[in-house]
Amino acid sequence: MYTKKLLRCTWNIKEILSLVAVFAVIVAIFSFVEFQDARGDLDDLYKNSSTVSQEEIDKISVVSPVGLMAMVAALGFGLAFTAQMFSLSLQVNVTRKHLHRATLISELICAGLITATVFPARMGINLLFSKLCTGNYAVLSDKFRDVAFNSALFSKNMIVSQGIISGILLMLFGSLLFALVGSLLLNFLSRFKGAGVVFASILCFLSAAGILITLIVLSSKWISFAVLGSLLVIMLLVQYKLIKTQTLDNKSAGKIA
Amino acid sequence: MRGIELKNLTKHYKDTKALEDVTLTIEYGKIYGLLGRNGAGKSTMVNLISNRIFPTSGEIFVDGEMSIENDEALRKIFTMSEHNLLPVDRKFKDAVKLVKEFYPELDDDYAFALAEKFELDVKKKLMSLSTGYSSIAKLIIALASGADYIFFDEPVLGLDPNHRELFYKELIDRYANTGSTFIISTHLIDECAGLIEKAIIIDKGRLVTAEDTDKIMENSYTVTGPAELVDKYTAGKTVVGSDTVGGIKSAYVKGKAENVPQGLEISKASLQSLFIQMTND
Repeated sequence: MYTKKLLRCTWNIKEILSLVAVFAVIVAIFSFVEFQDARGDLDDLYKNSSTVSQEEIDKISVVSPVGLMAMVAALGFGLAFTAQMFSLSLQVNVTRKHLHRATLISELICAGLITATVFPARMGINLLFSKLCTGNYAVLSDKFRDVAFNSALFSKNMIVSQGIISGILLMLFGSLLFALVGSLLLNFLSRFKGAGVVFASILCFLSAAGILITLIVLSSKWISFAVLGSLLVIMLLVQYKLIKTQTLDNKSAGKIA
Repeated sequence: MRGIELKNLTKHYKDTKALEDVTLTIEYGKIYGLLGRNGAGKSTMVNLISNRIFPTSGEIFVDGEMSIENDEALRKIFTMSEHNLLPVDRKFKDAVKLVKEFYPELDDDYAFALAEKFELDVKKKLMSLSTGYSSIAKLIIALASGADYIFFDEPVLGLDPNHRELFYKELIDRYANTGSTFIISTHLIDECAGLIEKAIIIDKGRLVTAEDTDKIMENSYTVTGPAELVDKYTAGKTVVGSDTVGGIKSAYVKGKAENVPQGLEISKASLQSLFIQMTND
């Protein structure tokens, strides 16, 4: 009951809409910049070749720190909500069990919102720019997809859906990973005073950004997915254990009382 | 029995012993003063009772139920902290609604009536309130919360004397109407002395005393006069402290004044002066 109340008090329609609006602006600006960067290469590709080699893909591949930044910045919103929830839980004396559940759900909502908003918007804008400027629908490469589907990334006859699926998957995975790192750190710090929230937020932000950048540097889709997947499983297990332990603690506390 | 029981409560932060083996009962339906110097452990105690932090050892019971991670027990406690923990981008009226979600007994009519008395603009966001009005907003929500045990951590911070007076008056009214327990942690002892029924004094993380204020004051007095005479009179008595200005000495003595020689003046010790003497190094 208190988990739901915490979520209801933190997330409301106004907050969600402003979040989506911010994402949309970030995505539009970043996509435009990215498209402008890649446009020349794209034109060349369409004019000069019917098949595209891996070498060429690498050449036109737009290293996309902007995309990464959009995602990390957007996830920062999730942490801000979590921090607010954390602070509220201290004021209204909500137990850690509910706080942990609510922070986890909150981070997942944020991850879902980002994936649902940012990625399709980004794809849509890219496709639109591409059609307007080259007359063809193509999805610009970005570093996330480079990592995930390095070989099937980009060609004249690129399968758009494959790019979209891989992008969505990676963004969802990345968001979830961020969510879990954030949630775990906040859970850990919830044993202390509220002042730890700012520290926790910075730490979450840095750890998640660090993990994502490392994965991008790894540049192999299988290693990336393996590392990402393992981390997710470990964190989910730890999170589950944490909630379960606390629930048990409550039961034993009740027995003692 | 209704009340909050602390049993051997200890809280350590690495090498710092914030609270050490405190055993204490806070009875239901009384106004308490939680007194201590800076860093004595007052906020630690309040935070432990409110489950904001967890003890190194010891137990906390609220109305006989263990309170740690216990939703039902925690619903009976509301803490007004020095720091604002409510979302600062919310208006006061929304903050009241938000707290009511968790404290269904919160009396919102009373909260808005109080806001009017304090001339608080309920449509203003919490972040745009001045320090004084920010404290007032928190005070109002705490008073209206309907919780059985309401803790105030430095409640009058930033409040002008008129608002402080109004707060004390409203607190007594609320106490008379609800019978809840109010625990006020403050440094302004003289100001609160009139409304505190029981004083909990802690020093360096240890409980010094938890007694009726009347009893503490009844059993103590100040003897003032020439230093030599005061020393002679107090020999063999329990002196909790003394001040000497020039040749004149004031000693704070426990017990009842008897056989006072000529040249010495006996007066009732104030709670604040007793507190200072009890907690002086």
